[in-house]
Amino acid sequence: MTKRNGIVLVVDDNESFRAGLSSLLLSAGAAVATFSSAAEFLEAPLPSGPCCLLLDICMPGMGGLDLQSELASRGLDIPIIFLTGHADVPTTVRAMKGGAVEFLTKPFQPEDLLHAVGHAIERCRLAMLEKSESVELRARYATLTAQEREVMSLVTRGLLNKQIAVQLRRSEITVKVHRSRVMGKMQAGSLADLVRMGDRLKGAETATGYTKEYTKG
Amino acid sequence: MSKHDEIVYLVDDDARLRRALAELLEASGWRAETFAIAADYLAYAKPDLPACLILDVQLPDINGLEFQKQLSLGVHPPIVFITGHGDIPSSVSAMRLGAVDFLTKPVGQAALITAIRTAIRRDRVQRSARAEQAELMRRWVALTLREREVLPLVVSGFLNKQAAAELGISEITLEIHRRNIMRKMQAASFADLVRISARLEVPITPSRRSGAWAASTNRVTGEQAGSVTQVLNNEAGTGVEDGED
Repeated sequence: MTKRNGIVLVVDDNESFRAGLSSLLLSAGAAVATFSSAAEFLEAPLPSGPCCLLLDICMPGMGGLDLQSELASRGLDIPIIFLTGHADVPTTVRAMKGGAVEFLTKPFQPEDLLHAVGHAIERCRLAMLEKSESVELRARYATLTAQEREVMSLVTRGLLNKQIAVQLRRSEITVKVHRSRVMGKMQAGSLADLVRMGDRLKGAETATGYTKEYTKG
Repeated sequence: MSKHDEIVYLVDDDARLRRALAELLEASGWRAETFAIAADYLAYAKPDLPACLILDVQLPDINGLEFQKQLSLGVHPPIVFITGHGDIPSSVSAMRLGAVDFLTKPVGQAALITAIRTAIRRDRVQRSARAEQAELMRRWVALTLREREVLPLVVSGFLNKQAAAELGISEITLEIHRRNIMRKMQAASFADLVRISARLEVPITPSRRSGAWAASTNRVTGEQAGSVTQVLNNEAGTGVEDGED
């Protein structure tokens, strides 16, 4: 089912189809915005809340697959549901490889569409939550001085204060002061928190090479 | 030049196609193993090599998509579908479940080779990640029950004194546990231990000091095979016997 505050963005060149989709989605409780072409959609400002895109494949001008590529190259991660009357398997596969959440051919079941929209909006909501946490972290990190960043880097690598003091050629007291400022500015309650924050900032969710990296100790 | 360290499995009931593809695969340097029915593939003793699986959608003993769903419950090589009866809902379902590609017969050679290369590359990455995860799990399994209680507290940011109080043991005992954990997990530093715990999805409980951040990073986005929570849910109390409390 569609979530509150979810906006469905409909891009289709057929006016009566847009109208029909609109009323279906509105009656299900979603907010809707419609566009008659990819170009019109690209010119409009993006919604600030969770949203998803309902796209036709065949449209004059920029088609649905090209719009999908364009959004990807702009780094815009809006979940896409394709809805189309003309499709073949290679087109479908291309759309799915491009990250489409669902691909429906007309005529479709309203429940299938609403189900897909619900999923897509939830996915968008989670992605936005992750992103806003990263934004928050980066904002805190931006308030650190250069020395504080150096200290944070070495602390999260596991060095002790006295080792950091040697490496940075400062006194241990200075290192402790920087460290405590870092903890405060990053709002880390513990070293464990700070380590996780540091990894998050580096986008460090890499699966491979991990055991090798830390066993060289 | 042979890449016989990579293997391509093919399940298709068309014997001529199996022969033709096997020739193509071998000529491209891969080891090929072909099967007429899914059951034969399942029964085959597979070597531990990077691999991919080429499946038809219409197999005599099972629908290819249904087979994909079953395989998805466990570890399996990345799948490339080739089919004479390609319909759109099938292709969507296949891709949603993670297929590398969905090709309709007659299959273009170049498209097939490209898909296989992509699939095997993906398999190498997955195999590497699984091997690392298995190594970390081996180390975790070697911890005593008490050590497994100490680990989440320590990486949640509890001070030694707080963790000790939480478990009703002395601080000195806790420090001993902590040192043993570091050694058994082969963590070079506490920061390492925090990262290892994240890989194992060790549950983080917010200590009084750590606040909201610790809780939010514990959002587990998916059940990773070989995660501590998975093991805890499946087998209670199988830790190495504890010498002390």
